[in-house]
Parts: sequence; C-alpha cells; structure tokens
Amino acid sequence: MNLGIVTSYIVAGVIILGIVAMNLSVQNSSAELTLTQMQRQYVANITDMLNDDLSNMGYDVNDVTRDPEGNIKILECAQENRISFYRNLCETDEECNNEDRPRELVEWRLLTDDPISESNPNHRTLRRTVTTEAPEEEDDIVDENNINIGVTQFDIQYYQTVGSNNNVTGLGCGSGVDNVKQLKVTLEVQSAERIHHRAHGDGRFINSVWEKRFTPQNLQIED
Amino acid sequence: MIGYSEVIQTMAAMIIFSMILINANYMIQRNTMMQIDGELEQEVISLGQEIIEEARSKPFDRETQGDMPPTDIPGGFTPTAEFPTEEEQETREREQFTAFEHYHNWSEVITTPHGDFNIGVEVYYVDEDNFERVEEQTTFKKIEVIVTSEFLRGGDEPRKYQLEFIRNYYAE
Repeated sequence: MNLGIVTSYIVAGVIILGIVAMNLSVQNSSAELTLTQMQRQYVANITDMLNDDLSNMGYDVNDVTRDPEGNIKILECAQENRISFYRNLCETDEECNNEDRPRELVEWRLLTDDPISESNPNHRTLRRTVTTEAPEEEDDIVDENNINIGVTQFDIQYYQTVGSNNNVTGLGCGSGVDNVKQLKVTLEVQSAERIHHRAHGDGRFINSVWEKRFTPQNLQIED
Repeated sequence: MIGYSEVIQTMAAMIIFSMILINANYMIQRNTMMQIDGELEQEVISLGQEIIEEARSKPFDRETQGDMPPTDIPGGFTPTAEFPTEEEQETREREQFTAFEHYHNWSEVITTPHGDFNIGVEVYYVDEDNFERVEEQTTFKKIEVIVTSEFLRGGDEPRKYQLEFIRNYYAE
C-alpha cells in the first residue's frame, strides 16, 4: 500500500475530527451567547417595571401625595418574596371616592409553591397585581400579570436606615412596616434549556442576576 | 515513497487548519468575555444608580436641612473647602450622611453576587450655564460615581465606569 495515501488518510481523519470538535464548540458558544442575551433581555423587561413601580411608590400622577402631617400608609406588606404598596394616595373621603384618581395597591410576589416549567424545575411565577380601589359600593378592579419568563429568585431586603448594612427581617404586613427607608431587590432569571459542554453530565442553566437598592423618595418623608 | 510535495501539501493544510482553529477559539473566548462584561456592567449601572438615588434623597445642602433655608442663596451653602476630606470619610459610615455633599470623597468596596466593586464618589458645585466644575457655591451640584471591578479591565488597569447626576436646589 502506498504510504503517501495512508498518511493522507490519517491527516484527513485528524482534520475532520478537528473540524467536528470546532463546530461543536462554536455551536455551544453561540447557543450560550443567545441564551445569555435572552436572559438579560428578560431581566431588563422585568427591571423596567420594577424601577418604575418601586421608585415611584406613594406618588400621585403629578405630585408627591404623602402628607407629612397625615397618617397615610405607603407600604402594606414587606416580606422576603412579596412587597405591596400604595400609589395615587388619597386623604379625604372625597378624594378617595373620586373616580378619576382612585388609590391603587401594587403587589409584586414570587409564587414559590409550584414549579411552572418541566425543563427547569427552578422556574417560578412572578406576579404583579394592581388593585384599583373603586368608589363605594363598586367592586375593586384587579389587574393581574403573571410573569413566566424564567424567574428563579425574587428576594427583597428591607432597611430602616438609609445606607445601613443591616437589613430587618420578619416585617410582614400591616403595622411595623412604617419605618422602612430602603429596599434591595435581587432578581435571578434562568434559561429553560441547559448548556452541555461535554457529551456526558447534566449541563448547566444560563442565569442572569440583577440587584438594586431602592431609596423611594416617599419613604424618606418623616411623619 | 513519499515525495516532498505531498509532505509540503500536508503541512500547509495543517497550518491553514490550525489558523482556522485559533480564530474559532479566539471568537469563542471573546464571546465569553463579552457575556461576562455585560453581566458585570449591569451590576455597575445598578450600583451607580443606587448611590445617586440615595444621595438625591438627602437635603441639597447641610444648611437646607432645617425648616428655614439660608438667607443668602447660594452664598449660604456649604463652601467647597468644608466638604468632607478622604481622611474624614475613613471614619464615617454611609448611614451617617445627612446631606448631599456628605457623599464627597466617600469610597467603599461593595460585595455583590458578581464579586467586589469599588465605589468612589465626588460631589462639587457646577456653573449654572455650562455645568463646569467651580469652587464657589452655586445652586447646582454634581455627583460623580466611579465604579471599578477587578474583572472589568481595559488593558492592565481596571476600567472606570462613571455615572453622573446634576442636582438643582430649585428643582427639589
């Protein structure tokens, strides 16, 4: 047998194996990049809403509505996976019964009980609910949005002093949440699909983490 | 018998293939770097924004904390020379700040899920017309937050991310 042909076949085999391996690597890298971009976009979509809701808690459409002399509550619930607060605040019965500017209760909550995805068991529903308090003898209007785009973590820490490193826990709902001045939100979104770097093994989910400490202006007003 | 031409052709093929492999590897590495940069830059922006938001929640000046503003505006505001120095800030905690300029010269290392980030802050008066830095008091103050991370590098040095905000006393 011609040694030249044998050598050529061996070299060709090595090159083909190399091309296949390179293709797999490029494919994996592209898949990872695409999934990362998708997760980041999902995070951006959620944080756009959070940035607006949390920074503006307690505000009316045009002005700060918390009256330092009054006793109007802004935060309703301050739990680890749940926060609810008022906006479009009102003071008098006349204001609160005004159909043009009813008070609204906004709630963000991670539903921790049921996994919503078979491919990634860590996925949970993040629910945003806006309850518009209707004038007397009418039903409240509830606007509910379930965010099912791979949220795996939605943690909130509460601080009673601006800039403090010590967060407070166990605040719950109702009384006791009045002294909150800052809150820090940690949001994690994971991909539904795994990325495999080797032929065996479970692979890993692509995740994107976002966190921010909010200082809502209306929580800084002293009673 | 192998001729020299076949050997040379084989070597040339391997060299070309090696170059393609190196290029593909470089591309993959660059993709990974960009992914990490993007994730960390997201954190940088959040940190910068939260410091600016926090500073904005404080009174414009230590002299405007009470019920009555100074009689002379802007001359009654805190002079630049009385802004906190780096030495003074070493002994102070962020939660002790009660006015916008108290963030001047403040620096801290903040630990996040993405690693440690160095924060440095500068506050100064700016000209009302061109927003350039000035020493005398005006009704405008600018805050500059500089964020760096060991993992975000431009050459040998950590890259500096600068977030700014100009605050006006009358637009409170």
